[in-house]
Amino acid sequence: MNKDNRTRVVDRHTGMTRFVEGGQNNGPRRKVESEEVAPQSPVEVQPGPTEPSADEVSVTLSKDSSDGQLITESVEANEPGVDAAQGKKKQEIQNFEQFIAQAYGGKGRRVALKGKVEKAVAENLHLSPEAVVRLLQLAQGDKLFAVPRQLMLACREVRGYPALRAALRDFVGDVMLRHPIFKRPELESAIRNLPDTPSCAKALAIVFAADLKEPQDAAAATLKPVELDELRANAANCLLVWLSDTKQLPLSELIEALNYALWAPSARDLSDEGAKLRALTEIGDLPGVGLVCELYRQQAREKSNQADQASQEAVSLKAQVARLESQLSEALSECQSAKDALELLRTERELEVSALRTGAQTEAAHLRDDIEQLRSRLLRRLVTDVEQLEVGLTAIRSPEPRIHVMQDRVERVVDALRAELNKLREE
Amino acid sequence: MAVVGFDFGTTNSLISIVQGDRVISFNDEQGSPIPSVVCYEGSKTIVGREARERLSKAGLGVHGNLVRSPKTLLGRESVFVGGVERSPVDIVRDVVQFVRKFASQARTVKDLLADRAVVTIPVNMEGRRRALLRDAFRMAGIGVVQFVHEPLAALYGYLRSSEDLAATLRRFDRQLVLVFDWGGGTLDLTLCRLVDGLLVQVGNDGTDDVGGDLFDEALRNEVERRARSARSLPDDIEVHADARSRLMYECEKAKIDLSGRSNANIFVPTFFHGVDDPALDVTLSREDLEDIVANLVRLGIARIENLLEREGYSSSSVALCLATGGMVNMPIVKARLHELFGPQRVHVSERSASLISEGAAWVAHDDARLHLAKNVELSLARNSYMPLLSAGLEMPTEGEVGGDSFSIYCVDPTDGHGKFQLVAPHRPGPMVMAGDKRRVLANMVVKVDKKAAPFKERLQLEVQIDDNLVLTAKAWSPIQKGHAVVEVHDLEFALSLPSESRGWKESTRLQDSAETGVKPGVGELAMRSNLASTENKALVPGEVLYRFDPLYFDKTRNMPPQIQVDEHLYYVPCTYCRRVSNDPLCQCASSPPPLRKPATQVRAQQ
Repeated sequence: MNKDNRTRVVDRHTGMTRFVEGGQNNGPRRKVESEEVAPQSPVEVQPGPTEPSADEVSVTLSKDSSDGQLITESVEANEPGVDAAQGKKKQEIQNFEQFIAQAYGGKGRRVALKGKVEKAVAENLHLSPEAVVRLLQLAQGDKLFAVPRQLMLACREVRGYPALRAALRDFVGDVMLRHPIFKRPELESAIRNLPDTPSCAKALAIVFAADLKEPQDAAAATLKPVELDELRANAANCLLVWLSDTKQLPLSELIEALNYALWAPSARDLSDEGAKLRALTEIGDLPGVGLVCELYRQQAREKSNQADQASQEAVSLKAQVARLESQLSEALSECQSAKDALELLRTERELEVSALRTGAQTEAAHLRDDIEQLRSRLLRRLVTDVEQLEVGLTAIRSPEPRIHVMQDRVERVVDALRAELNKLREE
Repeated sequence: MAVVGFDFGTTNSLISIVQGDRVISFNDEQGSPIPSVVCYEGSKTIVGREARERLSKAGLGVHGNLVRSPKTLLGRESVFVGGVERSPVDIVRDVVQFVRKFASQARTVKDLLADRAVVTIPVNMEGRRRALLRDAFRMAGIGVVQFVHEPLAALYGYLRSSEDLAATLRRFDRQLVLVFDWGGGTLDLTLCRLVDGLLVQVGNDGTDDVGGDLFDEALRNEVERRARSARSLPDDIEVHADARSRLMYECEKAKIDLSGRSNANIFVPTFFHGVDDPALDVTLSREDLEDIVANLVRLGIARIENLLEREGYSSSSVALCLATGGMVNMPIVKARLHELFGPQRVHVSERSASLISEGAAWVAHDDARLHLAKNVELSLARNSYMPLLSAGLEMPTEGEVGGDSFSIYCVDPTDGHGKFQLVAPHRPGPMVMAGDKRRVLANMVVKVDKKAAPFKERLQLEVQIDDNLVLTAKAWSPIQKGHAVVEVHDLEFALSLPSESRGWKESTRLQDSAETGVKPGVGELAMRSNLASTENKALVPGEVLYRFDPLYFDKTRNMPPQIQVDEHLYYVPCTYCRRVSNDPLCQCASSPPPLRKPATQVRAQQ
C-alpha cells in the first residue's frame, strides 16, 4: 500500500495493474493488535498486513478460474525471496487448529488450503477440548466476524477431503451459532437447515438489520457504528456463503439475496446525487460489482430475450388463438346448421309420424265403424225377425191357431232377409 | 280437440263426428239413433230405447213418468213427471248426458271426449229456448260451439257427402232447394238458395201437428177400431195395461213394412181384457194405410205449398227437394212429393235418420260459420232503410257477442216519440233495393222531446247478436231518458260451404221474380218512421218543417219537394172557405170551375 492508502493490484494473467482502496474488500485495514490475534498456542499466525514501507508494495492478483476469488499476496518488491522485515513469517500449518488460528490471524484475509498443507490439515483434524476452547476464543476475538466467511470460502475450495470440509463447516457453524448476531430463532433454524426456515434473502435481511443492542451483544457494544455496519455485512456475507453451501443456491439467487438484504437497503439512504456519486466512486471490490452487473446484465439480456421470445410466442399464440377461434366459430355455425337441419328433419318426421298415426287411427275408426254398422244391421235384422217369428209362433200356438199370422210373419222375415242379402251382394 | 255434431231431435238424438273423409255416427246397437225419451223410475233415470218401449201413446211431452222430446218443454219453469216436479233443463241434460256417454264408450272412435258440439235446432226454436238448451248442454259437459238449423244441417250433410262437391255446388248454384224433414215429432221445411258458396235460408215453416207419431197413433186407433168392429166388441171392453204400447209398436212396424209390401198383419196376442179370445188380429193393406193417413199426408204436403206461396215461388222453381225423416219412406209421401216436384228433383235420403247429425258433424269439421242471410235494417223517414247489420255478417260462436251502435236523428218529434222499426228484406243478400219488400222484425218507441226542432235530438240505437242467435236492439234518448229494448229470435241465416268463393259478392243481385208475388204478412204493423241518419230537411214532414222554417217553402228561394208542399198545405185550411183540406164541401180549388152562382145565392145557401 502506498502513502495514499492505495494498493497496486496486478493481474497475473493479463499483467494489468490497478489500484484499490484499503487493500482488502472487507473494510479498511486496522492495525493488528497482538491480543486480538490471541496467540495462546504455539501456532504462529501469519502476520497481518505489513506496515506501509517506502517501497511500493505490489500485490499480485491471481484469479481462480473456478470461483474468481482473488488471492492477495504481499510481495517484497526489491528483494524477492527475502521475508519482509515487518513480520511476515510463514509458519508451516500441520493441523486443523493451526490452520484456523492462522485464518484468524489473517483477520479476514483470504485463506487457502493447498497441496501439502491441505493434506496435513486433513490428516490432523482432531481438536482437543483445549484446542476448541482456544479456537472459540479466537473466534470471540474476531469482533468484525471477518474470518468465518473466509473459512467457508476455503472450505468450498477443498477437493478430495470431505472430512476436512465437514470439519471446517462444523467449526464455522459453531462459531455462527455462538455469535450474538445469529441468536435469533429464524437464523438458527436457517443455519441448522431446519424446515420452515426463512429464505436466504430474508435471513440475510434479518442479519443485516440486526439491532445488536441486546444484553448478549455486549461485545458489539464496544464497536463503532462503522464497525457495526462492517460486522453486519460480514455476518450477512458469511451466512450467504453458508446457505449457498448448505442449499446449493445458484449465483443468481445469492445476488438477489444480497441485493435484497444488503445493497438495496444500504442505498436507500442515498438521498442526493452527491451521495450517490460518492457511493459509486467508493466501490471497493470492482470485480464483485462487475460480476454482479454482468450477471444482472446477463439476466436482463436473458429476460429481454425471454420477453422477446414470449412476445413472439404471444403473437404466434394470438394468431393461433384467432385461427382457432375462427375455426371454432365455423365449427359452431356448422354445428348450429346441423342442429337446425336435424331439428327440421325431426319436426318433419314427427309430422309424418303424426300424420301416419292419424291416418292409421282414422282407418281403424273407419274399419271399426264398418264392423259396427254390419253388426248393428245384423242385430237389428235378427232382433226384428226373431220378434216376428215369435209373434207367429204365439199365433199358431194359441187356442185358436192363426196360420195366416205366422204366414204373414214368415213372409215379412223372408222379404227382409232377401232384401238384406241383395244389399250385401251389392255392397 | 274435435268438435262433434249433435242432433238433439224431437224424436231421436244422435252424435256424429268426421274422421278422415267420412262421418261416423254413434247409433245404438241396432243401428238407430237414440230416442229422445226419458223415464224416471224412482231414483233410476232411463233414457233411450228402453224408455221409449214404455211409451203407450204418441204425442210430445210428459206421459206419466215418461218424457218424450224434453226439448219441446224448454221454456217452462218446471214440469211434473210422475208426480215429481222437474226442470225441463235437467231433463234435457239427462238425455244429452246419456247420448254423450254412449258415444264416448263406443268402440268405433277411441278417446272421444265429445265436450264441444255443433248442435242442431228446429227452425222455429226461439232464442230463450236456445239459451236454455245451451245451459242444458253445458250441464251435461258439452259446450255448444254453434247452433245450426236442422234443415240447413241436413242440406249441408247431403252436399258434403256427394262424391264431387264442387260439381254439386256448381249444379245447384243460385238454385232453390227445399229441405223437407218429416220426422216422428215434427215437420220442418226450409227453402234455401245456394249463392256464392253460402246456403241461404229464404223461408222457413214448421209444425208438430203432423208428426210421424201421430200417424202411428192414428193407425193404432184405426186398427183397434177395426178389431173391435170385426168382433163386435163394445167400447167398454178394456185392454191390458201395456197392450196399446204393444199395438203402437206393431203398427209402427207394419207401417214400415207396408212401404215394401202390399199388406201386413198386426197381431197382439193379449190385447183385450175379459174376453175369450184376447188377441187382436188385423190385416192391413197399403191402401188401408194410405186411407188412414191420407189427411195427415195432405196436411203435410200442404205446408210445402203454403211455404212456396208465401215466399212467392212455385214448385217448378225448386231445383231439389231433399226429403229426410222417417215419414218420407212411406210410398204415399214419396208419391206426393214426386207429384209436386217430379222424381228427378226429389231425393229421399237413405240415411235420413242420421243426415242431420252428419250434417252437423260436417259443419263442425269444416268450421262452417253461420252468416246473416238478410240485412237487418232500420226503417227511416220517407220509406228509406238504413242497414244496421248486413247480410253475410258472421254470427258469433260460443261466448261471443257481435253488434254495432248508431246515432239517429228524430225528424218529427211532435208526438213526443221516436219510432224504431226493424225490418228485413225478403230478398237475401246485401244488395237490396229500396222498393224491395220488407218483413217487420220488431218495433220500438222511445220518448223524445216534442218541443225540439227536427234533427235536434239525437237518439241512440244499439243492436247485438249473441251466441244464441238472438238479436237484441236497444234504443234510448239521452235527453228524455226514454228507453226501449226488443229481441228478435227468428233471424234467417246462411251457412258457408267449403268452396273457393265465399261470401256475398259485391256485384251479386239476385234476379228473382219472387218479389212481385210476395204478400205482406198477416197482422204486420206498418209504422211511419220519423227517424233519419243524416240531416236532410226533405225528410221532415212538411207541416212540421213549416213551423220551424217557413222560409223553406218560399219558392223564390227553394224548390221544396212537392210531397212536403202537399203535407204542409194539407194542414192549412182553405184560403177561401177556411174549410180543412179534403172537406167535401170545399169546392174552392180542387173542383172544376163551376158556373158561377150569384154571390147572394151562395150566402143564402150558407
